Amino acid sequence: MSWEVAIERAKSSIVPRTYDVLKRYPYLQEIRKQVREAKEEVVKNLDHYIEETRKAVERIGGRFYLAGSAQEATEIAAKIVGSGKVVVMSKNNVAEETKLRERLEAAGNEVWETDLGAFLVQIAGEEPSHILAPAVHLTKERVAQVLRERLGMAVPPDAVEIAARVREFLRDKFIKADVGITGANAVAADTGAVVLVENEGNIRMTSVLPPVHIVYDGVDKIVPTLVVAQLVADLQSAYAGLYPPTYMNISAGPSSTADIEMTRVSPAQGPREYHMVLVDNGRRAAARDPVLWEALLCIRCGRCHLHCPVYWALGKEFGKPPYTGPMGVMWTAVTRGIEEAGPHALKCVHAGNCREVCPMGIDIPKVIHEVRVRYLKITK
Amino acid sequence: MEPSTSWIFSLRDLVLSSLKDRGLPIPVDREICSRWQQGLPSGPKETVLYTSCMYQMTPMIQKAVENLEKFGATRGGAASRVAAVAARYFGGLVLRPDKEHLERAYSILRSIYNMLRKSNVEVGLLPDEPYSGALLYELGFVEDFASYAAEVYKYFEERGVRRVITVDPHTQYVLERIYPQYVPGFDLDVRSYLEYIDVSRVKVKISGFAIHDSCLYARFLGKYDLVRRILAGGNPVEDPYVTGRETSGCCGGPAESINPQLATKIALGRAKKLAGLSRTVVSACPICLANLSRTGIVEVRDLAEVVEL
Ligand code: SF4
Repeated sequence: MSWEVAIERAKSSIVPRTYDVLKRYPYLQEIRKQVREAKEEVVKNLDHYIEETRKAVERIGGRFYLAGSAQEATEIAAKIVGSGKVVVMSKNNVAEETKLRERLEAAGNEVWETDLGAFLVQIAGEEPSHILAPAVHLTKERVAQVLRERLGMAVPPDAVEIAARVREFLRDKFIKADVGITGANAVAADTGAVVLVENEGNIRMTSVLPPVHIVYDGVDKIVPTLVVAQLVADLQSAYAGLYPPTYMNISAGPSSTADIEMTRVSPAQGPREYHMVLVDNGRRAAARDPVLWEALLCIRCGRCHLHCPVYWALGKEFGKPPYTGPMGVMWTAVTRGIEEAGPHALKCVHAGNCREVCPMGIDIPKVIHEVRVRYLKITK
Repeated sequence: MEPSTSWIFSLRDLVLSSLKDRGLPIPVDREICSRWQQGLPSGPKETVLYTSCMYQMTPMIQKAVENLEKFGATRGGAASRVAAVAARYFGGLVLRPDKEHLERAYSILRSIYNMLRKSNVEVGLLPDEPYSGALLYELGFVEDFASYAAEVYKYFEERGVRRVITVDPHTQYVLERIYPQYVPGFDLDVRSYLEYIDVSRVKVKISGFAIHDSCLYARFLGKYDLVRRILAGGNPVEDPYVTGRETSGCCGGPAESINPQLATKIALGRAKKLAGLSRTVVSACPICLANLSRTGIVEVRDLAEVVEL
């Protein structure tokens, strides 16, 4: 079945839900302002906050790595993981951006996406179509077909049944996993903690069951404090229409206990190692750019996609996966440059819905227009 | 649906040369822009009604692109060669206006003029008004736009114009929001005709229609509520997810000249949604009017056709 059917179903479900959430919890409007201010502060002083984060992560017994490029980032992660391991990952756009899974597989590891949507995209061998719901292009009928063809799972085209079967399949992987890799909704510079928000419970397991936890995300996720980091997670889930989120996770270092003589020792039940790999890959340059800097405020709620007439028409052809839709054109420019983002900027019709619905109030049409202008200049 | 850059550059050259020759982005007879003024007094100089020739030209731009599409000009591939052929075709002819379209444009403009008069707004008319340059800006050629815009501003200044009343959202947006960024010293007062309509005296001639908002009016220029106040008497059918300020969609028009397939796809999607509310759709933009009409799914009326004072 077609993209048109899939996106219509998604829109009719999530758009009204998001409006209900925003109406029911008016305090979100205040949080929006606070988060925008905090993120602006970080973008303006990004190097300072990266350094603060490094110190904080080391303070809590973790290891911190700043990766300049996509390749550097995957090399760092590959070194931590080694080979012959079972790796579980929670949905992670930066992993997709840098092709982390492919790199770890090439090193001889068994790597599993554990977010249902990301898992389905992995099994289907396709690209994610939405920042938050990577399998939004797959109808339930198509999902059932993919599971049957690729994993021999006989499952009816029913969301509940599909979720149940995939849960069974992934349980085993969680138990066996040597390494868990998560992203971060926000990274707190003051504490070295990460906040992760979810509904499935897979992030919780990814970050707690395996003995090694790697946080792998972009430097744009840094916010000044843990308090703000939690607010980011609140907002992200609310503007994705999924508030309250079922789970909110904080990870700050390896697991530990102080139950014996009140002396803190590590590990306890959770991981013994906590690594944080933060990726630059164009972000620090964007932070200094007079127009592109605004893209770094994005909290990846995915709302702009659902209000964009070009995304409705083109799906993942608008932007470069994982960065599709209005935010995707900006993020393609940040992470892959004007040359790759330009052709997508040319598809923008400047409808302006994205700007209206963005919790960060990012002037997305302006950024995209600038990408278009620069692209035409270099193409000339 | 990848736009072809070589086509975009050919289009730029065509637009620039046409602007240079006749102050219009496409090769049309200048006279089509001002014929609607026949018999009307030239009026005061300080406040003018500025059409930017948008209602008159838009259907012709679309016709031209449709014809170029037949050459595959916008699709890339052997694009530079094709675009060169297209350019000759496009630039070498003076496009012939479609009489029916023009008559309709004139009656819309006359209606706007009359509504202003009845709202006690006296406006001057400019028989040789130049095009605003909006297309150059929208395409992304900001430097070309900036130098052209400076000329347009000079044109107004030389004629002692202080206030410009526009008839369409693209002209309003570019003059109100973009000119001040690119034209040093720009200080014209730019208003849409919608702002001058005496809402208390408006009669809406039809009812039960759906409103299709211009993206620029609704989301960039703060006119979403104003359009509704003007059309309230016609009891428009509203749906929060089809005609809401944040949820409604584009007509596809802005993609027309560089990505006609995408424009058509967006227009069809939009028209289907609107048709779920009403077969009759009212819009206040010549581009929306042309693009949604072409889908054949809805009948589109311009706001100025359905409202009178
Ligand atoms: S640009 Fe705004 S609306 Fe789009 S994903 Fe980012 S925060 Fe959400």
